[in-house]
Amino acid sequence: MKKGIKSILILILITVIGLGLYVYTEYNRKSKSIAETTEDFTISASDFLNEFQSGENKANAKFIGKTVLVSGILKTVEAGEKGRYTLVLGDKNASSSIRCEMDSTFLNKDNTLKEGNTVKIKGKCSGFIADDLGLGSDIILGPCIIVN
Amino acid sequence: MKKIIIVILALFLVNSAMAQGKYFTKSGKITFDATTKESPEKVQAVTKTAVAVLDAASGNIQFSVLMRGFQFEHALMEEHFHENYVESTKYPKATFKGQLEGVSALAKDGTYELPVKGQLSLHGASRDIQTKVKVVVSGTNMNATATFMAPLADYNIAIPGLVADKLAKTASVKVECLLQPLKN
Repeated sequence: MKKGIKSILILILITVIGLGLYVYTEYNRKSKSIAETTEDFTISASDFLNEFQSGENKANAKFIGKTVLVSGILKTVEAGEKGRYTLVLGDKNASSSIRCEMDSTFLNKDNTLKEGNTVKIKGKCSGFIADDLGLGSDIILGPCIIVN
Repeated sequence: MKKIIIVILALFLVNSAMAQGKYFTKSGKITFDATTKESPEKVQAVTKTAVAVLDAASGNIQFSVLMRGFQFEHALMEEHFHENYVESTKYPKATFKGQLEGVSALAKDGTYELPVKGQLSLHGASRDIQTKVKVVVSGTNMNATATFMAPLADYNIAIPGLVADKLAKTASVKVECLLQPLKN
């Protein structure tokens, strides 16, 4: 009988500890780095822009919050604050582009990236800003990395 | 022939004069903070992809901000924010359309504090807001910063009872933009 109570107590203890650990790790979970995230979609820059331009609502539902691996021609490299970069993909003469906000691991130390290069970038899609402010339309990708 | 050249030149002049009047950014920084004394940690998110245009001639100012751009340090907080509170997939964008007063002052270098009024739309609701914008003009750039309070209930953002005391009912929103002249 005593043995039975003991094993039940141990079982409860293990459950409580397990639950506690789960809550603790879940509570302290950092956002997964983009390098660890597998892409949901692989797409070319021009197809990606077409999807948003031909049906914004449909594309919003499909891509927002999803990880996208996009390949395209590098239009510009913009340096931001604290050594962060934004890489802009798209056709040089078009007003629409894909703006990729690079994560902190992207340093562009040796300036190896040149405008006109074809690059592959993986990032989380924030959505699309249509050309209603006269600045051209852009797809925005959240923290991004370059994929070789 | 001469006439044509003059017309073309005149068109260029008009065009450049108009372009001079507009300033923009595509990397505006917006910080959202709903931390209270009871919060176990900072409830704060930042986006650096806000798009803004200021027409320095008329004072018209517009913002377009993708909600998904807001990033939290904590994954769980970020998921709740996007999935339960602001519903970033259903309402991907927040916009602000307003009027900056006294823009004529911005023609000279210096630091100015100008009132701004306008409408903020987010999560399917639109509300009037007003605040002051600090603008530092140096050369061709303008550095604009502003802070305003946004009551979450105004934007139909419901906070579940369980976390009600850990989340501010009114979030503070800080906007920082380095605006550059728009050339077209």
